[in-house]
Amino acid sequence: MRKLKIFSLILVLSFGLLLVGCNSSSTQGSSGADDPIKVGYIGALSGGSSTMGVPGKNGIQLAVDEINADGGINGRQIELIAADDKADPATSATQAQKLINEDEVVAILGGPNSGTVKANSEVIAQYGVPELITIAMNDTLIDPNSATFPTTFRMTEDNSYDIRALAEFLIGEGHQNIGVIADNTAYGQSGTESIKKILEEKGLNVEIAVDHPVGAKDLTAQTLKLREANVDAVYVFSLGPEGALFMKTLKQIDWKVPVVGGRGLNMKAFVDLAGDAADGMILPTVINPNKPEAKEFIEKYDEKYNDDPTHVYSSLGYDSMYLLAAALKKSDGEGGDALIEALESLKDIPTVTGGMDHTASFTDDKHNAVNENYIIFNQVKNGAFEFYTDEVESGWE
Amino acid sequence: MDVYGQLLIAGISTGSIYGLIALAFLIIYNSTQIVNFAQGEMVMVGAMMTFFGLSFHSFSYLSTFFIVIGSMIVIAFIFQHVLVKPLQKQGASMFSIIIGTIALGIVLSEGMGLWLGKQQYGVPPIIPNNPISLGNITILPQNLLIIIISWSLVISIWYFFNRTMTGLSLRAVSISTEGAQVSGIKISRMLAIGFTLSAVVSGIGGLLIAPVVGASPYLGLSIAVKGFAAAILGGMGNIYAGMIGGIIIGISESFFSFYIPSYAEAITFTIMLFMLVVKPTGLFPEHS
Repeated sequence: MRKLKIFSLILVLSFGLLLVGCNSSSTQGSSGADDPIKVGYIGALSGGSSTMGVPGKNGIQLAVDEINADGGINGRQIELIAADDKADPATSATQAQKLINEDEVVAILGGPNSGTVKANSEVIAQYGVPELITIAMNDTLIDPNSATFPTTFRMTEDNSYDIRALAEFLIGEGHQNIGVIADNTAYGQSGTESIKKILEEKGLNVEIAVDHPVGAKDLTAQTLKLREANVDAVYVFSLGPEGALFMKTLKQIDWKVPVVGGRGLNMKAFVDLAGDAADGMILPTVINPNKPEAKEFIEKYDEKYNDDPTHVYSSLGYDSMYLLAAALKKSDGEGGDALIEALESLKDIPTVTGGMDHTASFTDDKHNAVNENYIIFNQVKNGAFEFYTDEVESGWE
Repeated sequence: MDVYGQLLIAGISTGSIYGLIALAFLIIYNSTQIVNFAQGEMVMVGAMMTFFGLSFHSFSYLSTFFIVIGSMIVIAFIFQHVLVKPLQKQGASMFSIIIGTIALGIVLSEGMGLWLGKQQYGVPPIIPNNPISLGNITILPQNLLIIIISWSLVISIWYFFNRTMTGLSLRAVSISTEGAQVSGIKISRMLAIGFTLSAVVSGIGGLLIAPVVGASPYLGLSIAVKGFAAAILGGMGNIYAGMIGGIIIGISESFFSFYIPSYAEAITFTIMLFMLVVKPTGLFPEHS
C-alpha cells in the first residue's frame, strides 16, 4: 500500500513537471534567443534502406557538431531530431506531423527513399515548413507543377541527371544498342522508362528491357535474354542483391559485356555479394576522393562513424546540413517563409560532393541544389569501389 | 541448345532450395501435423548466422557451419518447449499452435533485426565465383553446391526415416501417437528429434542461400512461400516429394522468365492452384 502511495506521488509529480515543461516551451516558442534551433530528419534508420538512411543521418550529425562548435547559427545551437520512417510512406507522413507539431522543427531534411519523401513532403508542404531532400533521387520529387514545390528543395541530383551522364559515357565508349535490367517495382520501372526516354533522345537504341521480382534467387533467364538481344552494353537499375546476382550470372555464362549501373548500387552488400564478378562495372557517384574537401570529409567521417564505404549517403547528409545552415544564418534561425526565401537566395555554396569546383545554388524556380559537372564515375575493382574519372559531362537539360 | 541447358541448370538450382525448405516443412508436418509458418524464418536465422560467423566475426566456414547448426538446435528447442509443448499441455487446438508458429516467425525476424541490424548484408561464397563448365553450359560453384547438398540431405533423410530405428519410430509417432506410446516409444524425445532435424535442414538452407541473395532478417517469407508451394505440388503426405515439387517450380520459373517474363510468377502459382483443384494430394501422395 505504501509503495503504491509513493508510486502515485512520483507519477503526479512527474506529470506536473511535464506540464510545467510544456508550458515554458510553449510560452517561449522556438524563437527564444538561447533555445536551440530544431531541425528534423526523416529517413530509414532500420530496414533494408538503413544502409543509406543511417549514414545520411550521421553525415548530418557531423555537420551539426561542426557548426555548433563554430558558434552555431548566429550564436544559437542546432539540435537534430531524427525520426525513423522504416522506409514506409505512411510512417514517414506521421513522423512529419510529429516533428512539426510536437518538436516544432524549423526545417526537415528528407531521407533516402523516394516513396517516403513523396508522402512526407505533402504533409510538410501543408504546414509551410521547408524540406531539404538529402538522398532521394526520383525526378518527380521536385516538380514545378506540384503543390509541394514551394516548400521542397533537394541537395542530391535526380535520376535523369545520372542517366544523362551515363548516356554520354556510353556514347563516348562507342556503344549503340543498350539493354536494361531493373526490378519490377515502381522504382525499377520508372527508372527503366527514364532510361529509355533519355537514351533514345541522345540517339542510342534501347534494344531490350528485362525485369525481375525483388528478392529473385536466379537471373539466368533475364541475362540470357539480354545476351540474345546482342546488346553492346547493359544498364543495371536493380538494387544491390539482384545487381550482384546479375553480375555473377554474367561471369557464369562468360559474357564480357560492359555494364553501367544506377547510383543505388554504391553499397557494401553489392560488392560483398558480387565479389570480383562486378569488376569493371561503371557507377555514378557524388564524391571525388581527389577533391581536398571530399578527402577531408572522408577522413573525418570514417574516424567517427565508418559505416558508409562509398561515402555517397553520408556526404549528401553533410552537404545538406551545411546548405540548410547557410540559409538559417540568413533567416536568423527563423523557419517558414523567411527560411524558404533564404534557401532560394543561396548562391555558390561550396560542397564536399560533386566535381572539383562544384558549388550549389537555389533560385525561386530551381529547387535542385546541384549545378553542372556534379557526377563522378566509380569503377568496381577487386570487389571494391574505386575512383574512375571525374571528366564526366553532366548537367540539367 | 546451351540456352535450354543454362535455364535448366538455373531452375534445378533454385528448385533445390525450394525443395530443401519443403523438406524441412514436411518433416514437421508429417511427424506432428503442425503447419510451421516459421519455416522461412528458420531459414533466415540460418542465413543471418552465416553472416554473423563469416562477415561479422570472420570465422572459417567450418566454425560458421557449427554456429549455424548450434543455433538451429536452440531454435528447435524453443519451438518445442516454448511453443508446442505448453500449448499442447493446455489442450490448445492445432489452429492455435499454427498461429503460434506465425508469432514465433515474427519474433525471430524482429529479434534478429534488433540483434544484428535490419539491413541486407552480403555474404561471401563458400567457393570463389569461378564458373565450372559442363559441356557448353556453365554453373557457379555455389549453385552446384546447393544442388549436391540438397539432394544428399534428401537421401539422408530418406535413409533416416526408412532404415534407422529412430526414423521408423518417428514415423510410428506420426501414424498413431498412442500406438507408438504403448510400443514403448518416448514421444517427446521423438518430437525433439523431428523438430531438430527440420530446423537443421532449414539452417543449412540458409547457409547455402546467404551467398546468393544475401542475409536480412526479412528474407523468410519470400522463401517460405516457394517452399510451401513446392510441398503442396509434391504432396503434403510425402516428405521427399517436396523436392520434386521444388524442382518443377524452379524450372518453370526459369523457363517462363525467359519466354514470357512478365507472367513467370503468375504462371508458376497458377500451376500450383490448378494442382490443388485437380489433385489436392499432390503429384506424389504417400502410398501407405
